[in-house]
Amino acid sequence: MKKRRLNWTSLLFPLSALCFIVLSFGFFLSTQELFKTTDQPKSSGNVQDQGSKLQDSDLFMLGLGDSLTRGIGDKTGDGYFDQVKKTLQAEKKGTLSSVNLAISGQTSSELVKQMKQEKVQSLIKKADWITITIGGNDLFRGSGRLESIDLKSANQSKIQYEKNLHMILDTITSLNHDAVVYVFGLYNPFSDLADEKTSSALVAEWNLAIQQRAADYDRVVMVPTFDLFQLQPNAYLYSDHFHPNQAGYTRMANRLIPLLQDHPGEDTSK
Amino acid sequence: MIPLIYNEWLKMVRKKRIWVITLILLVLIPIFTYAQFRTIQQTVAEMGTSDWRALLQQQIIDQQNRLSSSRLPEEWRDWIKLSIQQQQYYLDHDINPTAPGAPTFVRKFIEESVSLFLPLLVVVLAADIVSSEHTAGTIKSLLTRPVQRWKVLLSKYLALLLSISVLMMITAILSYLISGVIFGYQGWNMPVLTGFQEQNGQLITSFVHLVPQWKYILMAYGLAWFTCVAVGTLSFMVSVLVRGTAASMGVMLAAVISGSLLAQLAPTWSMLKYFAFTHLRLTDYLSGKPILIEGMSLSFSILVLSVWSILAILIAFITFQRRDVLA
Repeated sequence: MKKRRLNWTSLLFPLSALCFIVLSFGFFLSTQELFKTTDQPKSSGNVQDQGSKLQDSDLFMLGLGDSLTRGIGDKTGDGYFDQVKKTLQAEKKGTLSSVNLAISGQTSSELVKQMKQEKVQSLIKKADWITITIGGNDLFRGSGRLESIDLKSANQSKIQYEKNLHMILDTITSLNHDAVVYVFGLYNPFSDLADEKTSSALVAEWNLAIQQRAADYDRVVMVPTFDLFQLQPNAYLYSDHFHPNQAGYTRMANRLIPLLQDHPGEDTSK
Repeated sequence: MIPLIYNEWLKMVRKKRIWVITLILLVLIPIFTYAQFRTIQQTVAEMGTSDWRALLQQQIIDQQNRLSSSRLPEEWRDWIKLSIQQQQYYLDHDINPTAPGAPTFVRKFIEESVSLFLPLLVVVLAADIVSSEHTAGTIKSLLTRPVQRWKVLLSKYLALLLSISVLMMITAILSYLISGVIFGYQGWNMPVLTGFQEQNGQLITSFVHLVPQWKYILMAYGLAWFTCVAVGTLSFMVSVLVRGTAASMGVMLAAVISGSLLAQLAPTWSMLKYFAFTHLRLTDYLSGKPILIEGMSLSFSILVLSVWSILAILIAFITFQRRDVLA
């Protein structure tokens, strides 16, 4: 039993001890890792905070409309809506809550339908601020995509759009005449393409329509976006060349924030 | 004490069993590698395009769109953000996630083999560590030496632990070297998702985070090592209790296999969670695979395995100490 062994086996012995140490260290590390995660209630605390804010908050912001309010194209998923919310929450120390009811791809007719829902109406009644992006899908679908603009059908959908917008704003103001409504204007995502003149003229027409509708109400504000994406569309548009990217949303948010601060709702009027 | 352990360890090496096991691994790992390779080819064929960069970009955009869905719970959102981060890393570092290199194979191999394959090898290694001394009749000459019995047994046990560690290391190194031939040797720093938890049947993703793959592999092998040590300890006890090599190996093989079968067949039978062999898949807690039996968590599994191991050691030592050696 105590015969002389070859040299390499005696070398293997400390090596196996090393294996033992490495593996037990790995085991120790994994228990550390897995128990650490059970101990500290990390980021999830944030979420609960927001939940409780929703109940006893002073200001309430409501988002309606299409993918722009939803935040499509922003790689963080925030969009202008959450960016505004986060900025204001930081300033106001969390007295702001929000609900985003926007549906990606929604047209104005669909928004009219959505606003008939009871839950939506009750949220509108609660709101201090309502931000809306609507019309992009009406315009760019109604005209059969702007690459081949069909002016006739674009005009038809514009008439329908104006009607819908009127209904939407009427519904909101009748439900809640204290809320301030911010309607974003449209921008031209195709301003660097060949048909730029036609498409921009069309967008301008629609913007005019929004402006005119907004003028009928005291507390409806139109927030233009056309200029934001006019000169450098690629810098501010997402890779789908239609939705804004994160920087684009930041620009929209920066435009909206000072306006919100002009009318800080009912409770904190200064 | 160390000379004693060294002596026992030499016996194990001399018995050539660990080399047989290495040979088994040498045969099987290329087969697993090839199987994995075929699966990857299949996936590529199903996707229709071989340009994985385009696919990945598409997946990232899809997930970004999912992020903006309003019905998404906040913790899912964090999870998706992490997996976008992971995919972005693949894209930035030019890693094809469907064929990502040898370290990924090493990781997958341990996750799959921890439940049955490695325990079986451990059983082969451990089951006759004491009983073979009876079979060969060498037990008498061993025990007539001026060393206390429990020291002899302890050195056998420690030598076994060392061999198990070597077995794990060989598995890791071989699977790395062999699979690297096909998959390439890169990918140690690739981020891997971990930190999943289960509560009341729901997957909690709020603790999910990314760790580099080398760390993940270290942790996974650590957990697998713990499993193998527990299996080895139980086999050790059996080899003390049963005198024949074949019988002790048979008992242990049956126990290991029935453990993994029972977990599949009767996951609702809650008594199962007190059975050691249903807890072998410790790495599932790292990777976030759903745990079949209710009420199992990492701490519980480790506790169960430890309790069984400690009992096994106690039984082994007490029996060995009191036994009359006549054979």
